[in-house]
Amino acid sequence: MKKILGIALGIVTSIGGFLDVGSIATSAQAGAAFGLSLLWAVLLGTICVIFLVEMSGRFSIVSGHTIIDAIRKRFGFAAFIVPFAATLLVNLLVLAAELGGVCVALQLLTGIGFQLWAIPVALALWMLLWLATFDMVENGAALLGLVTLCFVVAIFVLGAEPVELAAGFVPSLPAEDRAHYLFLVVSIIGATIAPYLFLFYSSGAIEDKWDKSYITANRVIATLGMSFGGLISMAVIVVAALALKPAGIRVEQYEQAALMLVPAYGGWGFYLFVASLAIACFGAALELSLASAYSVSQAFGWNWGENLKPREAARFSTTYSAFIAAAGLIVLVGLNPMKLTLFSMAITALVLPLTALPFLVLMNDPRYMGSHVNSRFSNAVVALIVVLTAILAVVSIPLELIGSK
Amino acid sequence: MAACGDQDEQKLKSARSWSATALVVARHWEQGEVPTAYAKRALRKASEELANGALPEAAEPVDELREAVERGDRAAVRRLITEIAGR
Repeated sequence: MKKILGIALGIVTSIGGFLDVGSIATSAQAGAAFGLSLLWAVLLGTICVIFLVEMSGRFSIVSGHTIIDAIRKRFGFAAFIVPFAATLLVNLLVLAAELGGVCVALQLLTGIGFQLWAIPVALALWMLLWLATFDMVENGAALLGLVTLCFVVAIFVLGAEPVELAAGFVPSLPAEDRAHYLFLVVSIIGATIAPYLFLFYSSGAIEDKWDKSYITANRVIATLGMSFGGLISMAVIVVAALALKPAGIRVEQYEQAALMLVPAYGGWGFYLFVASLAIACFGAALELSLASAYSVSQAFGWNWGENLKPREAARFSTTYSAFIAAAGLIVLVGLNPMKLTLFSMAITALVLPLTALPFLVLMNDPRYMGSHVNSRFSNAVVALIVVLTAILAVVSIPLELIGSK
Repeated sequence: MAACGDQDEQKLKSARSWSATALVVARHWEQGEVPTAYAKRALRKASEELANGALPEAAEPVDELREAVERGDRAAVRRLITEIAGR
């Protein structure tokens, strides 16, 4: 009974914690600019993230290691340091984008500029991490994040055509704006398969002391949680396509995205969007801060754990404090939050192979996985999606930079 | 050359989008569906983007909308929406 409740909570928190600033920004922009035609990109990202999250849980359960710890031991520190540094840099950019998302939500609500919210929001984030336990961080924000289901309900209120929805799952190229379309494909997949997600999940399995009896539970949580989470991302595309595109609004700033739920919910729509943005970004910022501190601590063999008191894992808590301070500074500088988000997601896709491919090697190493090594099918799906997305990122990021000048 | 043409096209699309945004924000504000603080800020942003973009002449009516929102004058906003939409 306890395990069933655990699985249910795991699924619910995966759903509530799925959406973040990247998913909201990329999906809103995709729906407003290209209608339903980018639904396939979310589906592709969701399939890949289901495999990666299931693998990361299975890896920690079977080997007793976290991914970062094992990559360092398996490949040696010298080979590990470059991809590790790249992943941390991307984590910092994405953390700044998430903090920026919370600040923008507060700006939308109060009219006070988002930079002015950077320090209070960063302090609130830091205090929560300092005082809370892992379960409070993991479950609290994710349960509140269930508010993002309002995007799914909005589809029914606005009335999407099933045939048009189905057509969106077939990959296609538009007649115009192809460079931006491809950039959005990369950003959407980057937002869906953020490395912090599976690094956090792997560390969480150790924090929660999962043993081999959790193999099936892990599979169920990864599959159902990520599937329903992906559904919310798709819902954002659909709502933007139904509410913003017909009005001629393209999403270049959050002020435009904030209008997308108003046709479905009237006066409540604006507040539901603001709440979704604030909660989703704050929850993701909590996970990212922890994921970054986990990675650094595991790389250098320090004490780590959100369930430990800060003085028992001083370098771990100093690391997340430093990450939050640096991300707060990036927001304070006043970079355009929407552009920061989109480029962070595209760069995430670019560096994804640096984490995902060594991880695949570990998943096929019987010294770590015993009889639980990956199937060829799992290897092929993840390797294909990750490598193709990275190649697409190499092509589309320069094109987008040229086009946005 | 093709890249320049594409950039001009993008700028025009962006300006049209901000013009549409201003109208939708004003309409929702007039119906009491979005808060005044948001409407003022969104209209100011739309005006800036239009003034610096491909349709600078569209910035002035958006400024008039913003001023009407700042005064809390829903009747003026309703009239301006009709005027702008008719152009």
